[in-house]
Amino acid sequence: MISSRIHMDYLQPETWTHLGVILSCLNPEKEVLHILKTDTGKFRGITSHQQRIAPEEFLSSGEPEPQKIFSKYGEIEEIRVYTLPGLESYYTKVQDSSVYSMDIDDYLIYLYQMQEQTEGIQIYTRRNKTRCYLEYLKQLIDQNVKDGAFLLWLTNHGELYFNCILEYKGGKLVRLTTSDRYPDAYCDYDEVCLRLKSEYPGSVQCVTIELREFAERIEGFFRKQG
Amino acid sequence: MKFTDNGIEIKGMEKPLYCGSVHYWRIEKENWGRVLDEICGMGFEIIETYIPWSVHEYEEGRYDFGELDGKKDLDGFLHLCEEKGLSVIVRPGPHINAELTLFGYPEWILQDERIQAKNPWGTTVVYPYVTKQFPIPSYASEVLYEKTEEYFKKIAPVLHRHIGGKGCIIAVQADNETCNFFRDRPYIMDYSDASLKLYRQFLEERYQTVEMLNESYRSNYPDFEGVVAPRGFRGEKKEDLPYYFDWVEYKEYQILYALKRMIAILNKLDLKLPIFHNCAYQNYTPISVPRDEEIKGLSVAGIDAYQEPKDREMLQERIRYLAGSSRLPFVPEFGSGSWFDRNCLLSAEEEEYGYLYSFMNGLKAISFYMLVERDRWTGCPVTADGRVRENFYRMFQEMLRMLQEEKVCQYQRRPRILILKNYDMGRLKALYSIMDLNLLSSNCFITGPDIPAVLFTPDTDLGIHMDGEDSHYAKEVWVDQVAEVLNGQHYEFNYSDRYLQEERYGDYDVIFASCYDFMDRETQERLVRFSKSNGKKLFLGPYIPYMDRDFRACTVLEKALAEDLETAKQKVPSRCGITFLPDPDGLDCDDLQLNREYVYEEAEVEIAVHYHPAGRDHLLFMANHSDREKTVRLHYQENRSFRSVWRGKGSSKNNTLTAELAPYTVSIWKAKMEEEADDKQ
Repeated sequence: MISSRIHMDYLQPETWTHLGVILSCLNPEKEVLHILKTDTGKFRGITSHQQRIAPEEFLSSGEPEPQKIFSKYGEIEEIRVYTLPGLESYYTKVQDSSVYSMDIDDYLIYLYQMQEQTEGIQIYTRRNKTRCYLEYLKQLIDQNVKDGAFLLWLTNHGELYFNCILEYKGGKLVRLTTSDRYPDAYCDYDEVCLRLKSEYPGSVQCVTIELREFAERIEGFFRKQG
Repeated sequence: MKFTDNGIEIKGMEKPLYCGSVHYWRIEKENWGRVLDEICGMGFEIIETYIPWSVHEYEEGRYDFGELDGKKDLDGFLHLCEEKGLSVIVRPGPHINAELTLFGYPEWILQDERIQAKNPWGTTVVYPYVTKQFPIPSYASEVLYEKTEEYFKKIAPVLHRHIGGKGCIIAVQADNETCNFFRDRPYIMDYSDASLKLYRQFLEERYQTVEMLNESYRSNYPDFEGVVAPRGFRGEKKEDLPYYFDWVEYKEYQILYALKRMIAILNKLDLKLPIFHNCAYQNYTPISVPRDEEIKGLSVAGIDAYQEPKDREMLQERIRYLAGSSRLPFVPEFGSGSWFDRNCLLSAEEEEYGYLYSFMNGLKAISFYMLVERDRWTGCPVTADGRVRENFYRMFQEMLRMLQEEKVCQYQRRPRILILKNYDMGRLKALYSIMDLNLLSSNCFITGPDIPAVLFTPDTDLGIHMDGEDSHYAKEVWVDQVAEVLNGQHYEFNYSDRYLQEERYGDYDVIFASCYDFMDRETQERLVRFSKSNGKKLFLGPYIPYMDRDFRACTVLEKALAEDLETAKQKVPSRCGITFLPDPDGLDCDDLQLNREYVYEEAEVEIAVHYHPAGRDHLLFMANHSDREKTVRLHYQENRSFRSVWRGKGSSKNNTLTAELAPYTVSIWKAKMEEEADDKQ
């Protein structure tokens, strides 16, 4: 999906500074509890927010019982239980020379898949959802975006908040810009659409949407996919 | 050309080193002139550029210096800089990052198995850059240096045409952020054959004979070849530690080795230019600015800085460390704009606050990275097509004018206090990990797969005290507490560590040295010599060392403290020589007996005084670290007059300067000492 030669230029700083907000819609931060089972059979746990949790309180037949943890800690969305041999195996596999033929998006998805498929690592999620946002994003893009250009134009109370122009070629994202590529018209949605269409006759999709609605739709899409 | 205490000497003239980055190969050639004109328009006289390997050697053995793609015409670009009167610092890498997909390395270099670093389990070490994952190269690979030299020889003729006479090139950077691609933790890498060979070379240099090594390790290896590199901490007692310390020190050695090799290659080109290096962000293992500057042929080592909005803590710590440790406090990359995959960008006002706060803390030389937007970077004063981003442009133009007109770089900040961090405690905390896992996240697009390192901290009782801060091994509770007390009572200070040259101890009246159960004998002796100098005070804590780094008895400091206090057992604060300070909250700064130019009460306000080299006239910096307007009253004794040189608002009367400080700003006044009272503003 993402070309290693992708160009990313004309990023208008006043709108690009909202990238973090946009990404938080696509990939909301979730709290993960990491549990390590040591060689001596002891457990230790820490969340992605640095909260220490003693897994011994939640053991069942000598192993952590995820449902008990989820019940007590409502903010925890995912639990990962590792053994040292499991981690060795995982970090050996995901750094094998074969991974360099993948696109970065496929590699990131692979990192998550391998966690689930490596003996010695257990993954428990509160909801039965795909764990890697790029999997959703790829589906979304594959369904909706063809070779050519795609303009996403987000407004907040009617004012330009963020935009990006994605250019696809051969099914790969090859360029990312913003309306700053047309500096005399950078905040004029209609004009930017027109100019894009003159650059990419017949293969331009333009979407304009309020930020709040965008967030709701993305959440709805993810919920449906999950 | 050479670096000086205040900047850089070019053709016999000392100039401030205020510089900014331009990537010629990312700007259409027809726009070069407009872009450079705008840079000159802001007042810059020096620019800096990488010369990326992967850009110029586009296929193995095939080079393009503008013959195929005009943007790659390095010679033409340098000629144009000469026409515009700009000096140029060049950074040929080979590591350059620059948000290039393979960090500037050609793909065939990184895919060469002889060049790849290895993890403890024998596969490669992945860097998951947002456009493509790639294998990290090994600093021990001989092939890497051979190939680098071939590339450098290709660019050398172009560089030579622009050095000396009317040539624009004034300095060259050796490599870039040499730190295993930000993989600081010791057991992530590098277990390649080449690296393990270098590890044993390091051990041989350190111990000379395997018997000496066995004595230190309490082991019985038949030869150095038999020593197996640790993949994680498995020790049970403190006597096991030297083996692990050596691996951590080897990781430092490997980086120093890489820098020496790169400098040797540059020296072969006979460029006759001063060479510098930029550390990424670390002032802890495996990086050390003073040790870098001990490398023959390396003039200056700086540290890069990319501030977050309203970031005071990082900048204070980093810049004061450079001021206390480097020959020239230099930030070779100070964020101007940002990489594309960052959650948010800084405004021009936020950037100004960070830059001026850094000058306030002793920064002398700076390169703004970047001045011109380009592929994968935004938020700069000039765009790649030569337009101007007004708010950033104006900020740079006005700030640079002030810095140059007021000759700010000639003034000297002279803190009387030095905090010596404990480099060995950082090493101990770094080695004390069951295993280290590579980082698999990258900025804001690739998040989630990493595992907190603290999960792998062993629970072995080694019978020694360790620092209790576990957020990162670079942090120390005692050091942070001392800094908090000094900041709270408005005393300026610098930072350094055990690698600071002893002659620089003399710049200070007070040293706070972080100590635990062990400390190498040489550092203990240096500290004792300092404490015995006239009027000098040494504070030690949170513990007093009684062993050396090999965990054998070494009580140099303990005995000296005993002499001061009559008995080492009676560890109570004293007022001269050495003071044991287990709890910095108990520090009474009046005991330091240091005069301050200004006394004030307001919290969240910080000041710094930079003296003119010829006397007591000075620049007075004031920073408001809050989101509220502040009024600060500075009391002083001797009469002086004030003139605002940057955002200063206020007046002086009755030996008090009352100043209004806008939120998150730095203002600067010039104070002229007067023989008789004249309190007019």
